[in-house]
Amino acid sequence: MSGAVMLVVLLAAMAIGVPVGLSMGLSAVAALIAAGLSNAFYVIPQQMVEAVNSVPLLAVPYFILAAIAMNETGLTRELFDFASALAGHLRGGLAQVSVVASMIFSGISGAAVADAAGLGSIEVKAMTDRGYPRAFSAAIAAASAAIGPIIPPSIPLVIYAFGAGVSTGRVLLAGILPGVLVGIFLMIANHFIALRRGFPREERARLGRIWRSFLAAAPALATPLIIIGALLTGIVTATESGVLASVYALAVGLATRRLSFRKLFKILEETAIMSGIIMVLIAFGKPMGWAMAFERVPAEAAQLMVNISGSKFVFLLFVIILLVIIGAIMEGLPALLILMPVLVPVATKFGIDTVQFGLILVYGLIIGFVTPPVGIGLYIMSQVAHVRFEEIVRDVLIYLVPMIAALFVIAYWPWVSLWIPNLVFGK
Amino acid sequence: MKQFRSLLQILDRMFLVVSVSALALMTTLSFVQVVVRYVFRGGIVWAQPMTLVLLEITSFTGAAVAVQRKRDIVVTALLRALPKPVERVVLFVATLLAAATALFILTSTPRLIGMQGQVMQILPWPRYVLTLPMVVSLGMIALSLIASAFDFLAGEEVPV
Repeated sequence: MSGAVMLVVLLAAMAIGVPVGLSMGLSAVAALIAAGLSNAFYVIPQQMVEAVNSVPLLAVPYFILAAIAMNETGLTRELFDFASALAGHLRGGLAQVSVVASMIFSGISGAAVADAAGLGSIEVKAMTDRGYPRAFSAAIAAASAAIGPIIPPSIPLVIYAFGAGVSTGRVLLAGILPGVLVGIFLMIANHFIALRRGFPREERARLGRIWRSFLAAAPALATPLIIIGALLTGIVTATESGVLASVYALAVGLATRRLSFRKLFKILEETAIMSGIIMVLIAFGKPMGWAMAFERVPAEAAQLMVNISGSKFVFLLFVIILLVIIGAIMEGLPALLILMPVLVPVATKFGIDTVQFGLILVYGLIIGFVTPPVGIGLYIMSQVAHVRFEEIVRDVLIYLVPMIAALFVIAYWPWVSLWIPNLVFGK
Repeated sequence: MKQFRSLLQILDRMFLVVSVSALALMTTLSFVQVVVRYVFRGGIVWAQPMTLVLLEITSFTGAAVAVQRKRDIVVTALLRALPKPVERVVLFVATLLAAATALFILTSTPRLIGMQGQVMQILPWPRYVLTLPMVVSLGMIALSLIASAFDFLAGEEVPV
């Protein structure tokens, strides 16, 4: 009963515009009242403090810091030039470059927002200078930015690992192949769009240009090597790889004289605010998850799903449809925090690997980054590219086809997610 | 109201400085810990618990600044579909409800703090040190939301 009260209060509060974190807090208060536990309200602040008091979550501000430092010191520009030398000659030209650049930048940034706001502006300028329609440039920049939270480092995957109680390193490594897969699917779509719309190819870069652009981008390219290399070799933990990456990004900024004291404060300010926005969601999500578990909501949901259909394949199809719909009307991170306590136990009951399910959950919700009406990536690109929201929507819808196709592959072929973590950590 | 806004501006700067300082300290401490561990094969015993205290400070004070600057996450899909005057009323109610929630949770913290008198394992501080950043930030969040509600009443532009 109090589980239903909690859900109704949560949805109603969010719908009328109560900030998502406080909506979660309000729903926990309502659940405690409905369960007759009015003398246990202190559990809410207690759970909030405990949620943040977590070593794996230290990675969140560090991954944000590394990405913002790269953007603010202008190293993102060199990454784009390198991607341009590598992929500009393919059919689809700079649209393909956008995807390749995003795949590389994903190894630095753990948030799609940082990718869209930083790399997105460079991509749109380069594409419009070469005659690509502004709305299309913004659309492919937004779609490729969605790769950011899959390839490690990934803030949503760190949060998932924390919430589902699985190894952070294993979940992060599980994102590498799915991230590459999404990139390849987007590039295939670009190929056909370019054929239909007659987009130009760039001249194939000579080895000399590739080498020069590689050298210029090398300081930035070392960041994904630090993060992914450290995870693969197991030298440091996921949190420590985040510290190394952020200190390295700042050191490169200092060494290249692109980081002033004023800029450093701006980077730290932006990191502190973004970390606050994310961490307070996690804090408010914990008492809500606690209230759900107390009311046995996940167990009942699992039983309900099993009663409806005992098939794992039907359950996965239901999850895919649910994630695409929820992602379209709600931001990914709050949706992840709300859905995780309910869906993970159900997935476990169906025998789905918790690490693979993390990828399905996180990527399924990330598709919402480019799905109207909420699609935050579309709003960011609308601002960055100075183009109307509706125009980007028209051009981005076609990219939902490869993105959702990739989700089906990730959901129904577990080895796509599990091969690398099993190789590194064993089964 | 003008003085209230000025007070919030000052508090905003103070919270931001605290949040940024805690973040800088946290990053430095974690980095030094990694270097000490892997280069000198040693370790600073108090580094991890101290880093977690700093994470609490960065997170909650950063969140308070985000709310004050209206950068927190709000679902606007339904609101945007409403006529402007209705949207204003709904947002006014939502803002008051959010402020009331923050205040309500705040009122249940004294009992929690009363239960956290014991000293932490490594740092010689009482456990409520971890709770204090949240308490102070919830107060700031409530004040910011009350100010926003007054802004709606005064007819200022709705921030969605």
